[in-house]
Amino acid sequence: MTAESLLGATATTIAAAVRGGEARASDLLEITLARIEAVNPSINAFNTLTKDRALAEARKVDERVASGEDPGPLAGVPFGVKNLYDVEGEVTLAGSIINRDNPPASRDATVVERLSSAGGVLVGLLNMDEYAYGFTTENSHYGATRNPHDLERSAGGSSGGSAAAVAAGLVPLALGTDTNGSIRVPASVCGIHGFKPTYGRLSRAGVFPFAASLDHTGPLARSTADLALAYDAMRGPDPRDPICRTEPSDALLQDPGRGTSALRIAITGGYFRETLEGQALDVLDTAAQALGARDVVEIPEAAKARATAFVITTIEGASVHLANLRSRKNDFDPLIRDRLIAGAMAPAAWYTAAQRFRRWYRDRVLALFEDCDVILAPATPCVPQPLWQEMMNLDGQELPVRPTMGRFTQPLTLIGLPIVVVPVPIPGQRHPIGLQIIAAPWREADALRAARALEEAGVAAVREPEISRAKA
Amino acid sequence: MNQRFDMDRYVALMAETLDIPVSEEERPGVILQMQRTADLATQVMEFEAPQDLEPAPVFKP
Repeated sequence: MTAESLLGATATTIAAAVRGGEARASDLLEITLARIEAVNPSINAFNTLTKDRALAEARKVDERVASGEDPGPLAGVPFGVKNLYDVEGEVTLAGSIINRDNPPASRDATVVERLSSAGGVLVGLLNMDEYAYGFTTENSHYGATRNPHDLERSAGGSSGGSAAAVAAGLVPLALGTDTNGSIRVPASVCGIHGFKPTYGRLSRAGVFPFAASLDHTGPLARSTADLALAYDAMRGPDPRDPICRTEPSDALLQDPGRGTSALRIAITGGYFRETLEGQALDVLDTAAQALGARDVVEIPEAAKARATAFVITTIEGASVHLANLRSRKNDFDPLIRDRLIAGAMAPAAWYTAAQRFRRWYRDRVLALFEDCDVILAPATPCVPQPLWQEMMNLDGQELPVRPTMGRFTQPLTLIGLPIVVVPVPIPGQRHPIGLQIIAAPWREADALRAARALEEAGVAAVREPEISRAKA
Repeated sequence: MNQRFDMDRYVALMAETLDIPVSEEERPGVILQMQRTADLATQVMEFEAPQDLEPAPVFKP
């Protein structure tokens, strides 16, 4: 097996080849960097490449293989991280120019350190909406990230650089963050898999905060096995993150993969179908049929839950930036500045009401899981929209593009449920739509099992964009 | 919530209270976002929460 044949391969395939001595991590890195140099100018996914570190990590993996040591489960797998994760020696820009004045990180974010320790090779830092406050990765400082399937359209956000890099085949694995949908929206519109485990499952230590009571970390990849591989390497308690769960978790790759016969699968109705475009509805129904989902459940007060997520996000987000809003307001991206100022001005009564509704809503939604294990819902209401477009038409309504892309993800992050997004192609369409596979808290294995079943049935599939077939 | 909320006056007062400078040119943008947030908050405030309802975040000493 040549390193060239591993370009565009899954992390699972790459790690097996490197561990088995069939390919060298250093060779794969060299062609990966060449591919990034060739393709990245078209999609603007990477902000920074970490070549020196990547070379050192790849050499270390090759030395371990050569000396018969275990190089780790992610041996030689190139990966990128959203520019919100601390990387030792790099300034965590968080998509801003304000953070350029911060010192370089003194150590990696916990999950970055864990991927590297597992043999992963960090190749660079990925573009995002400023401070993760957006669903489109339109960044006034660093430019928009373009959708690899259609360069005139958004890659989704705020982890748009992460999704575009994976969709374009530049890396098989990237980390994103998800506060309101920032892993699931870009995974959906870029046609790849995304995974947002339960709130508190994966450490957020060393990740620049957005809205602390909603912030999640997680991987994006081109197969469900790769999501599990990354999750297994990152999971586990972390005293640096007070939210991170201290109880041990099960490895997902070890899940026996019994299929879905033991799972009770339901589909969402009501709010999650009302504004869905016709073909997206077909996608949802096709997936439901493949999984044998019969019951329709209605997530109660989903619209109010979305409003609640907005209120909590804007107020918690503003609190992070209050000092800079006073002293250097004009250095913020104009796309987010006024929202942060409004959040700073919001009365406390709005916030406390939101956190109280959130408890009520959490209890009602968890009760749904007494009768089912997994709930299916669309991840986005439509295919990606043209970049810099302000308004869109959805089901006859004129709606602002940027917030609307998150209408199906926000009600779910609000209560921290574990969710896998899988890409479901629409016949005759260039863009797939992602399907959210939602499980009860701490039941990541249920969501992943259903995702794997859809992948094996061919209902969920990653399509290679033309751009990734370009010669490096 | 009071639907006759004077957003212009509220933004001006809060800008002064929080010491966030908002120029005349910037004020319409901030008022627009404040109005959007208020509209969403109205939905949240309509919820009649029982008095003994515990807020969502849990603090662990």
